[in-house]
Amino acid sequence: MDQATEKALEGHNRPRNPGVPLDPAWFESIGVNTSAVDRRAATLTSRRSVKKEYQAAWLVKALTCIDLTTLSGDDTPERVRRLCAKARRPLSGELLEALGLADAPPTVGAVCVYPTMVPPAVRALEGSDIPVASVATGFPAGLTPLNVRLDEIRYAVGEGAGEIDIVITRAHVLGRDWTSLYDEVAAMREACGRAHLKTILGTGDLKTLRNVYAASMVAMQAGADFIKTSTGKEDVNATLPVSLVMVRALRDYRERAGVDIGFKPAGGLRVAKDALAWLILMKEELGLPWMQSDLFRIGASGLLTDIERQLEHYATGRYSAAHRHAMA
Amino acid sequence: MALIRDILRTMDYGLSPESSDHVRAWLERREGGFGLFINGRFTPPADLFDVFNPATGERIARAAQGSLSDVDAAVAAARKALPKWAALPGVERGRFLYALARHVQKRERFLSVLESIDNGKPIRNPGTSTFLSSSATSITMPAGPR
Repeated sequence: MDQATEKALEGHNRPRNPGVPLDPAWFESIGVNTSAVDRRAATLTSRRSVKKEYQAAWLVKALTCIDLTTLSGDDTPERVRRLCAKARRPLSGELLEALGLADAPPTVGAVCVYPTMVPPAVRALEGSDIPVASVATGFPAGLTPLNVRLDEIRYAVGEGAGEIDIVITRAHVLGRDWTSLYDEVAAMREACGRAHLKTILGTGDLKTLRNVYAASMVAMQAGADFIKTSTGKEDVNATLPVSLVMVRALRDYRERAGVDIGFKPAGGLRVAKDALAWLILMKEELGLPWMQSDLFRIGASGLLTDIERQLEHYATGRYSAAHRHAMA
Repeated sequence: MALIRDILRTMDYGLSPESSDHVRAWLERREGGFGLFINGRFTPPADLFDVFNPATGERIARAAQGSLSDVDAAVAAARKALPKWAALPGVERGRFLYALARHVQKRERFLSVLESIDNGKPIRNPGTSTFLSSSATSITMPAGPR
């Protein structure tokens, strides 16, 4: 195993979140002012604008934070292989030249696939330092028996996945059964071994922002390295208000436990402007370290196409058709 | 121009300047200075003082220093105009006020930039200069709902 692959297997370079014992006092008394959250989310993006070369740089940064994802019933090893090729070299040579990045071409943050697609992805990414992330635990519903879900994690890790995206049992949150939720996530963390654990909360299903905060906190106490908004399969996926609440939970956890947790919005980020909005959120709420791929990821597939188109517009003054930017 | 590889390290917002070209051109055409607006027209510019942009210290225009007699003239003109204005029915007065507010609204962009050059404050939120939207509102308010 060469060094780059070794690094990819480690996932991001941060030490793992050791977790803390379940402590409901960290979240039970926390209220969320919905109107204030909405207002903050709305003004974050209207007060700031990123233009010209700054916009181009921000879009490149967003690109490096993408978990390039394919999670369809018709995924094939061939499609995964093509997606991985795209992940290794998302921007064309001309574009890299125009952006002045030809000597250090950016890559995406990770490639995210179903467990059975991990082996082709690992093969296709060999030699790059791009980790393979695998969804697991009965994605997207997460309602298969726990031992089956844990086996799924062990399978994906065994096949070489460096990061595991798990889904929580939403019923535990809706029923305020924090102990079950904590035990479940902690068991999954255990099953991950050296792979990093990203916890999908399924915020579209959680109904209230208070639930979102509590679920975020329990997941982090149980040892999640990333908290992630959604599977991309709910009716409502990542929104700025929900992201703001999760990011605040992450800040609170950092203050109490002293561990940096990553954040991953997924689903609903389709155009370059969305990526800028989330980067602004990260910069304003957490600062520069959370604008890097080891603490910030965007779960998306179509987003990359629009980022490429916007970068082409920056470089040439003209928009190219989406079909010129084949994905997989 | 900043290099993309450098911005990738700092992730600064960068400058996002509002173009002030049209406002500066407008000010240049009035290089001779601004008179006082009395009785529906500008007086010839006289006794001028310099107006600076406090943010940059640059002189942006010259304006007339009003004198006692200017004030008297303005008050006299207003007294003369008042009876006719007061005799108008509310709806009619509202129509004038609305027209005035619309003019402010239509030129909001221009006036925001001009205001920002004049008082040196940044334009914080495009299109919603507090001073201007509130002045448009305060003109329309007495005009009543229509």
